[in-house]
Amino acid sequence: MSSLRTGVRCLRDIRQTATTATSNASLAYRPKQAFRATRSIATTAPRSAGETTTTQIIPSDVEPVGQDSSATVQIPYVRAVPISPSYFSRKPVFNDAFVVVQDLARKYARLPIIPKDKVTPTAWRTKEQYRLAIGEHAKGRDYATCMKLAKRLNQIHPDLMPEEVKAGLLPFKREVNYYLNRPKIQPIDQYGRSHGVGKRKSSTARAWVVEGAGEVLVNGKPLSEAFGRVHDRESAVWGMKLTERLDKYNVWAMVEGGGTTGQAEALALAIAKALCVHEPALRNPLRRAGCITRDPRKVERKKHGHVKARKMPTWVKR
Amino acid sequence: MAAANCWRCLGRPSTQRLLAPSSIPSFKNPTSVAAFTTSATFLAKDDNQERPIEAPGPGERKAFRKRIQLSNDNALKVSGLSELEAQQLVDPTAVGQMASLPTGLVDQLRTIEAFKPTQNWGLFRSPHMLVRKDTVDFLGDMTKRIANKETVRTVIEGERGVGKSMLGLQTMAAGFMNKMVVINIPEAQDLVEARTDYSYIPRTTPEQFSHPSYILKLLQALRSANEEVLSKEIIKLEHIHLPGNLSRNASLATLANVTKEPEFAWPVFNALWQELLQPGRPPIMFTLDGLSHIMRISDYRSPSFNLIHAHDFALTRLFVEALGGKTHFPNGAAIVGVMTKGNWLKDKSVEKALEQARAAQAELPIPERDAYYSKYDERVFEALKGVEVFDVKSISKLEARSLMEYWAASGVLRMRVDEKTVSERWTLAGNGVLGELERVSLYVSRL
Amino acid sequence: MVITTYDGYDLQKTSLTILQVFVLGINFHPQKLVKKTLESFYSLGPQTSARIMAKYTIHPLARLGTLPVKTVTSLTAELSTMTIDNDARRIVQDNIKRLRDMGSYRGRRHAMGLPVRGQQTRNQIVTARKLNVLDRGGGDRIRGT
Repeated sequence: MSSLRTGVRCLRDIRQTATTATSNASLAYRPKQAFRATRSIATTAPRSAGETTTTQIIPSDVEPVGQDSSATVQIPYVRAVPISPSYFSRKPVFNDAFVVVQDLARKYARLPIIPKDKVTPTAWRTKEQYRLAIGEHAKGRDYATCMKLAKRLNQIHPDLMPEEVKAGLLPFKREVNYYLNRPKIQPIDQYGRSHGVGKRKSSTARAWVVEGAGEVLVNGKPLSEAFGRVHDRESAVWGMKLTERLDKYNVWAMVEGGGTTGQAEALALAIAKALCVHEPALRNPLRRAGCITRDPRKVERKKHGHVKARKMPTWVKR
Repeated sequence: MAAANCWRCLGRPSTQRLLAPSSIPSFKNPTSVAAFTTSATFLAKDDNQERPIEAPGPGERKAFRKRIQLSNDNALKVSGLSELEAQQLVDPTAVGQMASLPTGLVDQLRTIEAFKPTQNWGLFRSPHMLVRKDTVDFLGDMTKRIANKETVRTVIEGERGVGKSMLGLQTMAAGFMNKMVVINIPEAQDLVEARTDYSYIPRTTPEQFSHPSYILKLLQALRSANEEVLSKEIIKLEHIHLPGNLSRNASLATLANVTKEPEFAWPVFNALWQELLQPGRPPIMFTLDGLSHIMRISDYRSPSFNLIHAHDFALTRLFVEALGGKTHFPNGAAIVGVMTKGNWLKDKSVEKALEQARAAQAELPIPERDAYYSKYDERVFEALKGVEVFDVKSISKLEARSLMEYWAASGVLRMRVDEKTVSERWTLAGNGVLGELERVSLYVSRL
Repeated sequence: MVITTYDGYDLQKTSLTILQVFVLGINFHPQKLVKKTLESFYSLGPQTSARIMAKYTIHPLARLGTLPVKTVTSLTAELSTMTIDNDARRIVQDNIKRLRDMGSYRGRRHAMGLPVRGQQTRNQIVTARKLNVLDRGGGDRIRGT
């Protein structure tokens, strides 16, 4: 494999690559071979067909012109030839893809490129993802080299991007380009309400924010009744307080699950999200205030053999 | 003086570090210590000079818990606020004003125990109160009707901490300023919890009971708070069954003062009540805080060992009959029961009775009783028949601002009071619940 | 600073004037709860004392010093009609003595301070040890004057 990386390509002469496919001149390097069997050994195909298959012998292009090019000879089974010369290497799929990328890189090295930051963000497969996708253990260094070339190819100006480059890079791209995902724009409804959902610990909060004078109702109760602790009340409206919007909006919220802290902080998230719908410019200040980020911490589950999640029973030797 | 980089200084960022070295106080001569802190003088004391801590004597703890401190010399004096006038309490343009209570009125209110230990009067130089919209609404209507010799029977309702007892206090203040005879039962719980003595009133069927010591104390408070009004009134009825000798033209104040014996407290109180019901007397204001407590069966036991219903006590019976409209007041009266939400066992009878009273007030169909609940107390419905329910609501931002400015001027609220802070506290206080506003604002300086 | 205290009635004053209260000829401190006073007599428990107090309309937290003399007298009169204290104690002791004199099993168990009604005796016979004695309820009452 390392030979591929360093440029010594023992197999390329007999392979139909991007370069050789269109060039007859390079075929001069082919060994003098009378026939080329196109039958591949399909490892997944049922074996039974192979016994009686007649191989279609096609005359090679390098044979003298005088030979009848259309003649087909029914000859008995000789031996199966793998479709890819990489078949006998340990990583045939990756090898093939790598070779394609290498050839493409060489072939289109002169096409104009655009700066990296102008390229449409592409979701590349990581090494692990690629390994998982093709089922081969591609070596890390090889994959890195390959990706370097692939990314260089991806920089080719989109107007001039050849189709074969697109096809050649495909194996290294993820199926879904999550960079193109756009968050769904939450609408403000006909009554001027925006809706936000927040979660924290086991609590879920839904908040509807509407322009008003700072009235907050949580589960139909005023803030003081919903949260006995002043600290909880403050954290529930923290985002509004920090952005000085407390007297400009009314909040109507439903909270369920969990305890008071969780409910208050879930509410803070929900209110902040709903507030962003009204004023998208508040998103950054709110993020800095820590009101946009979902706190993913949860109670760790208890394990058997443990007293709690991690606590072990006391153990005394003998 | 500790080293400049010692761990304590690192641990606690201190303003001392920011001062010039010469201004840093030394523990060796405590006289030079800044007035800001007292810890230096405290540290300078020798250990052997410390006094042993004495355990509080019997009753001292409760006295401390229940004390009402109405002035505080450490608080800043708030200037520019007017004294409360009777007109101010019913004037819609006065909504949102703070007013100081006149000294005489404070004494009267304190005598009848209108102030409560939980109301934090001790944070301020002198008692002030906020004239809020509810005050004006309630007292304006009440004053007008009493002037027409009508009887106002009201239950003051509202969420916890919304200012029900404060409205009761303002009602009493209005009563005193309008020369009414104000009778106040400061805590109805005291009458039913079997903490004070009781006795059977002879020749009553069904049997009735009185609270001799409690009524005596109430009588004395009533007399000294209403001395001015009562001393002008001359007795009209015969009181031969009372102890002492009352002259023909003795005043009602004399009548109230005729006994010092708990045994005769109830007869005297009753006689006074009968006198007050005579035509031509000043209007009566009878207030009771913690109404829900007297709407149940008390913890007292009758001689036959049955639990006594709260309405079988003479004093509560008096109130309940007045509230339920059974007593006729020829001179006009205000019977005000203040509900409590802080320590209240929910009672379905009271809830349903108030619900019905509310519906009747709004001229809506009267809600039916729950057919599957058999423990409704008929006497509760009887007692709350036809009362008006006044719901105390939360205060507006304007009122909140006026209050917070007063707090700031008194030095208990250390922040700038502007629209932003008022709005923030107002929201945190559950959209302007008065007690919660105090809690979120004065939390640090609460006693 | 103005401090007003709230107290239903003043106990301290009363206890200064009356130094001792006699109930059934026995001397009690005026600060003693009436309930405790009554329950100090053998055979009067919470139920009986509550009933006696209700009969004379004494509230559960009343102290002896606050009672009118009339009530104390009638309490004494009430108690003197009841089988209490030594009389009650003697009845119980006589019953045990009868068992013992008969030579019955129960009498023997009482004498031995062991459970009478067939309980196990391996553990937990503290109550039996305490109660199952021939002179149950202690000796005669020795108190006060």
